[in-house]
Amino acid sequence: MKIVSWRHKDLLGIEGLTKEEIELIIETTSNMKEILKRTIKKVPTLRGKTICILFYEPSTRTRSSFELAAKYLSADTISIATSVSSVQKGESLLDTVKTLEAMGIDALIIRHSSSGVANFLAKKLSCSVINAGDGMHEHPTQALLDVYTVYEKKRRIDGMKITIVGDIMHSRVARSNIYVWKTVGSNVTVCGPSTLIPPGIENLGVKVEYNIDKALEDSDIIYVLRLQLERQKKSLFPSLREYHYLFGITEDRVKKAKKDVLIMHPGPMNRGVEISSEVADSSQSVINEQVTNGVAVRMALLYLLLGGGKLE
Amino acid sequence: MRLLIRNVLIIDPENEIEVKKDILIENGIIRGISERINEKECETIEGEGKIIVPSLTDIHTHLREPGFEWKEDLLSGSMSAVAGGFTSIACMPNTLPPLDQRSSIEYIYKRSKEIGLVKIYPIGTITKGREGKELAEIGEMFYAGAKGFSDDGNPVLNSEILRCALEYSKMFSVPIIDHCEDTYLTQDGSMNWGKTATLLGLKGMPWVAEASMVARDIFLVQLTEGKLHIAHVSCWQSIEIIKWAKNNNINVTCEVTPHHLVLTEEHVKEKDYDTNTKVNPPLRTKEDQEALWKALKDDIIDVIASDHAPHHQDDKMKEYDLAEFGISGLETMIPLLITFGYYYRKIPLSKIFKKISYIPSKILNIPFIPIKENNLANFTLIDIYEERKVDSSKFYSKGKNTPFDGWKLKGWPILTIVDGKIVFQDGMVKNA
Repeated sequence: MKIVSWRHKDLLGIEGLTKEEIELIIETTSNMKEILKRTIKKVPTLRGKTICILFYEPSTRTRSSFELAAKYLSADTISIATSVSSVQKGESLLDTVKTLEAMGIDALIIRHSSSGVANFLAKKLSCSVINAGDGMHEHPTQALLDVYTVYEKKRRIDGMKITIVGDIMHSRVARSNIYVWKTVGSNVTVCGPSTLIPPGIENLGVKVEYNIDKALEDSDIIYVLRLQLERQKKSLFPSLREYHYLFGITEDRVKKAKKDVLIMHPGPMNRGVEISSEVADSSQSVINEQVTNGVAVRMALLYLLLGGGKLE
Repeated sequence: MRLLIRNVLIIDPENEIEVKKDILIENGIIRGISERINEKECETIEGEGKIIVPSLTDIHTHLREPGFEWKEDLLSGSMSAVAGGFTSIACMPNTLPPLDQRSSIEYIYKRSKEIGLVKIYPIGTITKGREGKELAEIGEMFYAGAKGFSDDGNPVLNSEILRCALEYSKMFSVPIIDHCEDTYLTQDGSMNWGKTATLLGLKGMPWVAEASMVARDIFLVQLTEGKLHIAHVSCWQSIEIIKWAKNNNINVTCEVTPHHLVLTEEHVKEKDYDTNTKVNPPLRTKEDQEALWKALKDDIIDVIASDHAPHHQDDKMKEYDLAEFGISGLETMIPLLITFGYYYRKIPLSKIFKKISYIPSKILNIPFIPIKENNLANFTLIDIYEERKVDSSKFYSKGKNTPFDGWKLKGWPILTIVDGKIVFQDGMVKNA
């Protein structure tokens, strides 16, 4: 691998990252993973740094993953749930983060339902901003943990066929995954109900396929997206039953893909809707590894962004 | 007051004629226009590189009073208008309460006379409370001076209500101005539908939301023989339908905004979610932009209007999808049109200015005062050589929300005279 250094203040999305930078993140993640295997998994690298985790949307895994990542690197963390904060008193987003910055935080990890929020805040703040998911835009750390998981299993990330199945329209995970796989040199096919495929997605260099069986042919990775159940109310698809019939990933369908296909899902899953339990719990599924790697990737990113010292 | 402007290009937008002459104004009246006026002891302006345009009119502005005075009020909006070079403006009724009855219309006239800068002509609502349910008192408002009727900001979704409005307003020969948007298609949207919205993860507002309503409206005009003006046309499909309507002698006119002529959806991405690019109708594609310029040249588009929509920074400095729609446009419209219309697209000045003076005056049936001897001076002097950067912090408008901040533009108003009174000169509004 080429030696590159990290040059960004913020991580707002995968768009704009180079292949070399993604490789650097993978390499750093491997080091972090080694730390996680120790009996005492704590290093002093980010001692004295303060990281604020501000989530405007409910989350279990991303939030705890970031918090643990920061703690394993000895950073101090504060985690704010908007349901018990001044946000409930009508404070604007900008005022909330300015208040936090005034207390001296080094990084802000933000999740929000509005697209572009991380970009907006990065322009207003001098601390690092890490996008933990903004609306339908990007979820960069998810895509990076996904690419790392594949690297760990297959020792390569290029020249593969990744098939992303589900609600592409509303998915930040899909957008970040498309960027990451196209950047490292793999092919992406997206598949889902036509009402949930956003206009102009082909401009990102992906193939659109409505027939799931065709889409899965020769796939190295089946990436299953969570179906947000409230989309049905907006007439974007008729019923969960029909969705499962047309797009649900079942054991039979997995057979269309390559023998060594990996099954991935960003969680939380709707078992029996977008993915059957048999597939989710099969030997090809790396859904739990994704979660473990999430901590390591986030450690790597915090380390790179906050300019930590030598790893011990 | 004695003012001599030497060797200045005088635009006659009605007849699309441009002539270079000297012009003398005395006590608010145009005393002489000729090749050479020899007058001493009067203020003299060298007219080289300058043009004079009569009765500059912006028929689509939001002045926010009553109800939203922190965004704009009739005073700040009037100052913004004359600084932008306008002698007449029409204000939309989406205030709180909306301008939906006689007393509200009278209030606008009363305040605007007290302020004494620009002539303000109120537009009344089509329906009571802008709710789209029952016709407002259009006749009462008309006799109080309302010059058009619109639920602007909202479309009239119910076709039967719009049919009644077009039918009823015929009695007064007054236009119905419709904001064409099928709001079922645009719900929760914040930019144009398409590839850029997909990249940015923003909910899109498709062109068909506009074009389908334009088509419906045009057929309703054909049915009722009423008078319709379509606000802020933004996509090529709307243009095609309007072209068809005009070819079939249907009584419809339309307007375009400077921002739809100059910007495209790409700008939302380039400016990285800058909410000053959030406007309704949304900035469209390059293809739409080219169609709008062509329609302007071919006179399918009758009018250029700013859709001046001032907002406080608190309404804009927020999440893109939660920010308000709108651009503060009065003070950038003229330089944008001269820079991009005249210099870049080579459209004759008289053609551009006809669409912001003579034609809008005729549509709203408000005074158009040509530049003629013994007429009241009601015109704007514009320096078409002057080049400078837009600085929103210097706007007279309370709304600093412009995507053009920092743009270098050429062609700025330097003197505005309304009914014989100098209201703006040398960058300063002359308040009473």
